[in-house]
Amino acid sequence: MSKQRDLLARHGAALHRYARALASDPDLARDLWQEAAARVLAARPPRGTETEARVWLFRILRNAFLDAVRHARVARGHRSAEEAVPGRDRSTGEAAFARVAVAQALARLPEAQREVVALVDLAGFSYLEVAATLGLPKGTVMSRLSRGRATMLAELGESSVVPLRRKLA
Amino acid sequence: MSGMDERLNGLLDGELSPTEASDTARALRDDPALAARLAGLAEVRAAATAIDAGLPAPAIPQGPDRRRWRRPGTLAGGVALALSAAAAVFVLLPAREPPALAAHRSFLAAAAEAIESDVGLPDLSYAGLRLARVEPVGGGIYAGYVGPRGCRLGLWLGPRGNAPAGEGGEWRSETVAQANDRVTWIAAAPAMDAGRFAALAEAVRAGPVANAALLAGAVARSACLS
Repeated sequence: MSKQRDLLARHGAALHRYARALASDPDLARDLWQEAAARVLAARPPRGTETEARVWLFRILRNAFLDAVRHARVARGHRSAEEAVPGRDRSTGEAAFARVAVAQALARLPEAQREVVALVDLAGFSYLEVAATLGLPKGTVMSRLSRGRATMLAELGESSVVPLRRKLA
Repeated sequence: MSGMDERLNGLLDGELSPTEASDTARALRDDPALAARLAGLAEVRAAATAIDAGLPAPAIPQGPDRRRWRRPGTLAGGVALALSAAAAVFVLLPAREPPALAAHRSFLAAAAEAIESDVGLPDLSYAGLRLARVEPVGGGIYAGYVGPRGCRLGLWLGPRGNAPAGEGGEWRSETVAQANDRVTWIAAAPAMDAGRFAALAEAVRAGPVANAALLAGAVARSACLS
């Protein structure tokens, strides 16, 4: 297995979660992932540490996302309502609803905060890795993460989640 | 609350130094409202961590990767190809360069704009240099600085064993020993004035105390000529 394929195999799931957080649409997220994977396979394999390789991988997906935004393929909206149908993932309605509520709160964050929260919480990056991936100072990463989590806490605490069941009724 | 929120998030993410963590824990013991805030942020963090957990990655695209060697048609062809490749390795290919050197080369070649100053990295603003890149490489941190006329300086702070050895040849560089067997490797853009580089290197060697005066001296030198 090539180094690139090995990287994709090890970090592909986290990369997919990051794509979904960026794109807020499952189909576009898959497209982004495939585009990023194709670029990874076509690129020179990264040298250096595992951390550097992971940063390289996520940067490629982010660049694919920015390209898609530039070409207006990505609308910056909320998660599609159909994802909120509780029976869809065969779990209890309450738990599914709560999960979608959190995902919606994340999707409603400004992009700058959302991608930092996604990299830390969904991909498990350290602050320094986020700083390297996004080309930001660590202090900016900390403040964006702080604002993003505070906003999500306020939203979830106030139960301001979009009433999806009512919308679908 | 935002400064304290950053501290609380740092605690949750394991990003605080032992001293900071201890101070924060003490503050939490004395302040129930702060403890409640930490609990709320911890819930958000746990909930966000669970988003799409267990979701499989899409299938990796099939098809050739970047590097593919062509199979020679004959044994003789194969031998000739192998000999040519071996010769090329010895004659043409340079040795693998240290990551810090590669990072500096990449920084010099790419577009760069100043970003906000980062805590913990040398502040070279007295010399008109603003931080433009922060990148973890080679077990250390590479920091790229850019001047008002595009002049660039790179610093790499990391373990001695991973530092580039000797002079680069393409640009001025210097390695400054730090505590705990760590070093700061300083490298300039090729066009940087020698006096300015020497003044900047002196400021880095002197550390934060002497920085302001020495960096102010560096400003008096002409910057990059390109």
